[in-house]
Amino acid sequence: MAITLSAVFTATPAAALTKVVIEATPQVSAGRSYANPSWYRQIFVGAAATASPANLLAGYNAKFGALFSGKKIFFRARVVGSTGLSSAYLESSATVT
Amino acid sequence: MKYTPGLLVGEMSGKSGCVVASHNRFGSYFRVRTIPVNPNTASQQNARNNLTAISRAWKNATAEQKAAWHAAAATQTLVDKLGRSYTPTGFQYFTSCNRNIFVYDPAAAISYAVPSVASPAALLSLTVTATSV
Repeated sequence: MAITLSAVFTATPAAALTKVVIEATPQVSAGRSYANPSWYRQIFVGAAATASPANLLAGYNAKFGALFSGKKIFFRARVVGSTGLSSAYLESSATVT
Repeated sequence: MKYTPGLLVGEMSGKSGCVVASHNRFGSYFRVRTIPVNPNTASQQNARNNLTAISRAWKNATAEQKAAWHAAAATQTLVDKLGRSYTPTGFQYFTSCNRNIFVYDPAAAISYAVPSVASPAALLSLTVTATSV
């Protein structure tokens, strides 16, 4: 199995003239169920009208380093339009296997 | 320091002197303020330069442009750190939109035009898979 970090989202592809922006937290204990909003850092900005899935590994490694098995990461994503308007956040989490 | 008065201590957030009030999912709390470190990374510098440019642009905006942003801001409802709804000022709305424009396109010029379209729809689902070996 390879080292991967990918996000599958809908609706896909994102609407024209919009970009998907994904933020992530550092790796925390798998028992955590809450992420402080200040922990999030932007790790991915997709191209306009990008399609799912998104490869987050390079951005995550650059910001937080390598992945460790058993740790949990919280994610949140929003859609930003070319006019500067943004959607609400959609949150998710994943445990590194 | 933002606060909502209560019987003894209401909701608070922010600093006053050397005391910082904050809250988490268990409720409000106080802690001693410590001076935060300032790594001043390239990302931080970029964000600060963007805010500087936006603030400078607002000063250079015409009265008509500012009035348009104030009018547009009056139609917006945001939520502050204490979960209370508020209406932003024109400057806050101008800053918010232009910060997002820099996220969308780091090389974009500052936009004085008020957005005339609706906000994009949020994602419907987000599933992340992570493997380390």
